[in-house]
Amino acid sequence: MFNLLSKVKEYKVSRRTFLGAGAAVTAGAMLPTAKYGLNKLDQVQAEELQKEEGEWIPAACWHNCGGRCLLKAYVVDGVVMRQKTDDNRPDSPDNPQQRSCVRGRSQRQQVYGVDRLKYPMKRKNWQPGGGDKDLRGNDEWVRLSWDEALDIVSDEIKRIKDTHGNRSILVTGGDISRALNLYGGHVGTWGTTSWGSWRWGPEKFGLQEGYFEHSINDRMDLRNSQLIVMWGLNPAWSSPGSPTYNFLQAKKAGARVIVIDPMYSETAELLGDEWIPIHPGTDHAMLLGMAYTLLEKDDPTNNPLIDWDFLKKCSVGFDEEMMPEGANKEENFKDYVLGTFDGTPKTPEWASDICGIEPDKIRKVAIEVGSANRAALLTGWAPARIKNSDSWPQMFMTLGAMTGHMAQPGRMTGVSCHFGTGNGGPRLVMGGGNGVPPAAENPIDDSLAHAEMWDAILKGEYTAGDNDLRDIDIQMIYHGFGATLQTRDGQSKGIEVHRNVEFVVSNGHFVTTNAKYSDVVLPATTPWEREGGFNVGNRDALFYYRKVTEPLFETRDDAWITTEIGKRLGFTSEEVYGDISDKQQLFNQITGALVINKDGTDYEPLVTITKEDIDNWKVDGEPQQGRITIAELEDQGVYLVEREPGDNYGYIAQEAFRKDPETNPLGTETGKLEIHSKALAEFIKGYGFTTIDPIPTYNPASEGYEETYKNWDNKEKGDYPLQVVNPHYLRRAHTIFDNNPWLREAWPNEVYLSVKDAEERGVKQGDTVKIKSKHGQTLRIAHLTERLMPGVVGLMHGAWVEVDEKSGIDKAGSDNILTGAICTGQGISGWNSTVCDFEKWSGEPLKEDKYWEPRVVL
Amino acid sequence: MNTVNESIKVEDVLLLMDIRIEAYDLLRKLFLAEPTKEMMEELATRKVFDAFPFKDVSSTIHNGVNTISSFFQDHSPTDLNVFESLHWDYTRMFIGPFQLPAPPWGSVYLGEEKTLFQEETLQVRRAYLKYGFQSKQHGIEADDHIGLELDMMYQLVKLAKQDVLSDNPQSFLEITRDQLLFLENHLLSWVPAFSRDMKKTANTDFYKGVAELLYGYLELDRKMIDEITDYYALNRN
Repeated sequence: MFNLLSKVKEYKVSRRTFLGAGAAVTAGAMLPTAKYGLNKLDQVQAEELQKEEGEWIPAACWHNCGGRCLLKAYVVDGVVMRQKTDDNRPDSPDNPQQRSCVRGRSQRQQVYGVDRLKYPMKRKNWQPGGGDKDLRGNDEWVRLSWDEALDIVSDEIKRIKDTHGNRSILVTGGDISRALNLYGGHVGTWGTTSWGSWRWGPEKFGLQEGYFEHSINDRMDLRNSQLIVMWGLNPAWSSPGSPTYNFLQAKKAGARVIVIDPMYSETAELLGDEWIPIHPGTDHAMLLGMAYTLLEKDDPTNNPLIDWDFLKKCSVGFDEEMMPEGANKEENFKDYVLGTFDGTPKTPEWASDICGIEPDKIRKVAIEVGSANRAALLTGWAPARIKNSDSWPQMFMTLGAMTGHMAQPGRMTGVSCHFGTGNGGPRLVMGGGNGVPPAAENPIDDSLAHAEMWDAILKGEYTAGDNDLRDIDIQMIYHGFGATLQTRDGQSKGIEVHRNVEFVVSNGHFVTTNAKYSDVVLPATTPWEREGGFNVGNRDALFYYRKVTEPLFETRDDAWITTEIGKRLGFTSEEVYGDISDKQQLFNQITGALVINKDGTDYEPLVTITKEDIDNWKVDGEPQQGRITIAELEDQGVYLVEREPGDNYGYIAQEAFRKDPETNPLGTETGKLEIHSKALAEFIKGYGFTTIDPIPTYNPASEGYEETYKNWDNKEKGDYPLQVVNPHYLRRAHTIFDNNPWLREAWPNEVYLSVKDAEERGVKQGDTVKIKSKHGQTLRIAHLTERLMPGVVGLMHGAWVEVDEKSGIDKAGSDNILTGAICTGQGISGWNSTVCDFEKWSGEPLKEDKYWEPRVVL
Repeated sequence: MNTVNESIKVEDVLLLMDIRIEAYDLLRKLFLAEPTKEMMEELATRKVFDAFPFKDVSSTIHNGVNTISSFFQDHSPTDLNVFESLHWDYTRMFIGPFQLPAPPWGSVYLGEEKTLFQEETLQVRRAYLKYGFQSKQHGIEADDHIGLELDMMYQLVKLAKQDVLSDNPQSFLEITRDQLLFLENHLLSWVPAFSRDMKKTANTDFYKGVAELLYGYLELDRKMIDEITDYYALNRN
């Protein structure tokens, strides 16, 4: 029974060699046990720590998903045991709980992910100047101390500035600008991002500005609409939280819902009374066919479809009688639709040829919209993420103006998307500022358009405006946050750029695509590891989050990273960031939080602050009276403005203008809605890419439906006979969460193919297919569906590219491997206009994503 | 039984404790931090692994040690390329930045969620606290890191040795029982899977060997604890 103990005697001879083995490990070397390993605490301390109990802490869900919800984490000594969502109040249609989606509920898998970026690291073959740059994306990595990492980054900034100048440093996002602006500045980037052609145009032709305000009424008023047209929007996927539930209330109140979308979406399934599939990027053509129908069938006495009074009172440019001063009368919208001068009447037949909808269906929808008393005409941004779509928002407004569905109860025409989905109007509750002084101004005014930048950097020349090409020589890229290399048009060229420049650095939570192609990666904290703050989404609610855990591993706040780099560039922390403590910053946000007053006329402080609070927090501040205490805020994690129908917080967009346009003119040149807008046409021309007419004429998209044909007239298909669109998918918020194990399992990220297209290509459910465009190739597992219109491929937005270096083919289904760097109009990132084809993949079939990098688990 | 007892002396028990202390010291240092060049050179030149005991009673230890020894016969860590391949192997498997092929934390293998800082982390933290220990990287590094758990065993065996020397059998038996609990509840509940992943995905034979040695040694140590407990209990009666 004592085999081993007996054995010991045999080791007496060799023990001299073995005993001291541990010492050998540390002989002459840095002692790993000095910094790592266990420490002995005193008895009292150890006993206290063993008693620690858990607490529910409101935790941030901070992603750019289009929603905003409440998360709570049950935390014991920095470890999250479980999560829950809003259970502060009973759920009701007027005041729904702010409940989280699958992604929020998977949040702790992100923060505590095994693949969190834990330490600063550099590429092994990096040298000042880049070293072997081709190895970016494939190199081995070496862990660094923070000092080493920060020294490398600042030395490269100095070296590159001295050698190539500040105009060679590109910053794609994040607060590193605070340091670099002091140091001579950097080149930036700009683009239409999610907004597409709604980004800058709307205020030129008379809708609200388009970025924050979307010209629609609030969610309570939606219940007054008899007809809701949902044009290319899928809140069930792209606006989680309560928007879809709000739409459901409108439907329950009696609204008929028409969904126009290439995909029979979850939204169409839940809300739709009718689904009308349409070729991507041809929405404008359908609207012209509808406008033709309205003109043809309108009879002011017996069958009024057009609101002539509204057009005359509130708009310009519809017909030759309503033209703005100085404009060519022949250049009116009505004559364009009728084809008076161009010989092409925009009949439903004409439209049908382009958009793929039967002419009679177009007529029916037009008449239904025209004859409804109260209709909500809502569109998402997806139909505007189309190249050459700068006239589309103006066309959408024109339908609203023709039918008068604007600026009255139950009547609205505008965008329903992101935080404002189905719920327009100013915020009812908001957080305060953190008191950090604004960043110094950037002395460099060069900025690259997203849709052009990779190409521009490769060419050494970018478009700065109309007839204004400028040289550019980018040698350093700092990705302060975001997912630029993953989310911008023409990713293949982006990877080439990353392998050309002298230095690339990324802050990040994981080895995202940005980080993968970097020389140095700097591990950043998530909001769960920070002091706390506010998040906002829908106008009714303000979300507050607290620190869940101390920073994990060696992660640091972005602000700290920026400050440390700034110091190495010769600036004090005060110069870079204002030197306000995290606690004070949070306190400032709380004291500055405002809520709408009972009359709905002004704002008042949200949080009551006592002298005791100020002492407890050890901050500077003044007591104030508000609605709730700090303790309530810290416990609940959300403040929701109580709503009821007919309350003082409702909102009708542009109501005052419609009531009295002379007294309350719009900000346009004419003060009215501009169906003829010289300002819009000139604005678009100013960008230097492509031009539009002052009236919303139809411009086929670059790489749109028409380009799927080699010969449009005899309908002969070309090499890329299909169109690929990028739906927002619940696996991810843009690119975030793509690596999350639960979400990988729940949302496998297959490519959606119509059964017809798949059968024509011999592809079956579950086959691996290769999808190819003019710009790249990617693999995915096929999901065959009747829910997708034939001719359309649904490649979900945001998967992290995984290029096979030998074949050059991406295996992850990265949407931007297929898109090109093609810039049109206002610099639109037109992801949804890309032509493609697919075939059965003859190589090794893909494993499902959830089995990627498999681990043997007990 | 008595004859066996008579043939085994307290010095033998102490020697066994010393061997266990050395084994855990070696193992913890192999995992607690990245390898340094000096450390690898010492391990190779001193032929530490050649001298590792119990090869003849555990085929897993035998395989592990042989794999390491033959690696060092063919590859000298004084060669920078050799050292860098070892260093990258450690970095790749245990630090990142990519998906870790052999994540060195218990919660990854024990929880449903394959994430860090989970319930297992807390349990291990409490087991440390019972003896007044806390990670030097508390809250930064997860407590169920393989290096820390091995350090815990190292610390516990050292405490137990003190009890032998100071003739405190009650405390000795309690600490030894806690060693057994810690092994069974924590290390041995996930190291088999971890070791399999590590052996499968290590680039170098050195770490493939370390994977086997780790698992083999923990299994054997569990048996040693049984013997020591029995011997000590019997001897004191």
